[in-house]
Amino acid sequence: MSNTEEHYLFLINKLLHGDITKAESEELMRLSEGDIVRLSFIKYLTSSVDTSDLLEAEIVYEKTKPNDLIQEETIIPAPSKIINSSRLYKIASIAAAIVIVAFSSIYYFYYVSESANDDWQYISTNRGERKFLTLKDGTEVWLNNESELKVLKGYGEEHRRMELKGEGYFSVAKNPKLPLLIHTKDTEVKVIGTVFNLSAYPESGATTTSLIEGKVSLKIEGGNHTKEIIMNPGDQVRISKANIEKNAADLSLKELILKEAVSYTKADVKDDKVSDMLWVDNKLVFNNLTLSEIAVKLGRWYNKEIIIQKDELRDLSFSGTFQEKECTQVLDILKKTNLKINYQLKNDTIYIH
Amino acid sequence: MILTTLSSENKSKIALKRDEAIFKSYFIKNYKVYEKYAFGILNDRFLAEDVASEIIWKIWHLGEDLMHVANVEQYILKSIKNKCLNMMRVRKPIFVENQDLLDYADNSLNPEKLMIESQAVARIQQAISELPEKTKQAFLLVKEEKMTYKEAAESMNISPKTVDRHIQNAVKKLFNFLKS
Repeated sequence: MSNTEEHYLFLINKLLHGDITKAESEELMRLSEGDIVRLSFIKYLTSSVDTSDLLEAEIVYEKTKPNDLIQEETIIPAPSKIINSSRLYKIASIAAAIVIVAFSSIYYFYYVSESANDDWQYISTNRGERKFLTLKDGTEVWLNNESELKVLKGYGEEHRRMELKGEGYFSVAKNPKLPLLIHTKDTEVKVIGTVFNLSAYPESGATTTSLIEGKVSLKIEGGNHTKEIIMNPGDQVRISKANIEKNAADLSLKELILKEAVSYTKADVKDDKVSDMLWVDNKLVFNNLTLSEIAVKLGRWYNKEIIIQKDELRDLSFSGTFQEKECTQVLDILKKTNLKINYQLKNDTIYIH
Repeated sequence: MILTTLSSENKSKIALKRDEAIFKSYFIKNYKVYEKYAFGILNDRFLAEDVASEIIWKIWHLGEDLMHVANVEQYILKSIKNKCLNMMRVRKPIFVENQDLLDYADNSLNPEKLMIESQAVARIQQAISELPEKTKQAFLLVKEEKMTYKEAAESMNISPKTVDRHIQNAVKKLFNFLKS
């Protein structure tokens, strides 16, 4: 190896080490002048990918993409963003403190740590955001839009207590010694090991519990007396302040429930899944909901302000399952029902008229 | 700005298996180089974008015929040049903002140089894959992850001196491979 080459490599090493002086880098360029191999090598070592260039390229790519490819894509359903829970479990056991794995912009995985000082730990979601978390005992929770879960300190060791505002889907790890207690604004749900969906948005005035597996006991705190209801798989119980009656599955229960302003229905089970919990699979479901209820749900899901301008539209009801990326795509589908619905998009607000 | 060569394996995936993901990744990695090359001829950002994107998409639309293209980069560069020259023939002279020019004042954009560099990189990448495991790891941490020797040492749980030795070793081997 020649002397200049040795010197060239010496300077290259300094370049990588980051302690090359200005004079030395000039010397390096002088040594490489006219030598395409040396120049290419330097160029390779100093090249870095500019992310803004990549972003620009991606925008151009999407912009110039031929239509036949775009159509092909929409036929293939979007892959579910929820990852395999057993894999999560493995990660959880490795994690020492808080581990947050972001596997998409909206899903997070939390491990509730012991290090927090507060008595209550809060996990909340914003509009248009959903989170997935695994608690210390292995219980898995999917938190829907605009919801808040409070977990009391010492969870999994001395007790399993939490409070929910909003909607959550729970897959509870079995532990007969420590029943899981979830407090909502007017119910307490006691669980030993089960899968269920609990919806308790503050503004909806009702708490809906849908049971998928196992057994759940509901405690209703109604004024000066409390009632307990045992739920079986497939049952759905809706507790509201207003007197709402739905198809009661059991006549004797119906009487009891009406007094408490509770409605007790069989949940709509589809492919072993209750439609109430399809949001876990990234699906937005309307099950005979009125447009005003849909507006609230859509707003939460896509983080949009939706205003219905014509009052006569409010009570139109719709059923359907959606997996659309944009709020306007859902509305476009609703438009196709031939009911006279139209919408206008201004900033982040959608006006339906 | 270095062109990434399309390996023959990926070429057949695009041509025969119609793997859009591989095509997309090739498009994104190289778009900017081709765009700058087109701009160097046209002096017009929007036209350069049109030409570059259209020609790269041509690779996708060739379908099975892509297999007959021996050197994809050369083919794209040549097509861009022809397309640009055709455009110049029909176009009126235009005024170009100074500021636009500065950004693109990259004299390294001659096709021959681009080709040589991209082939050099492909060779280096092959050589990297043949480095001893630890040496490769240290080199990639410093080169791709932009770590300092100290950070790389901590992440590999070895001393900074050892990292230095690995890097020296890697540089020497890669350079000799490139030269040969």
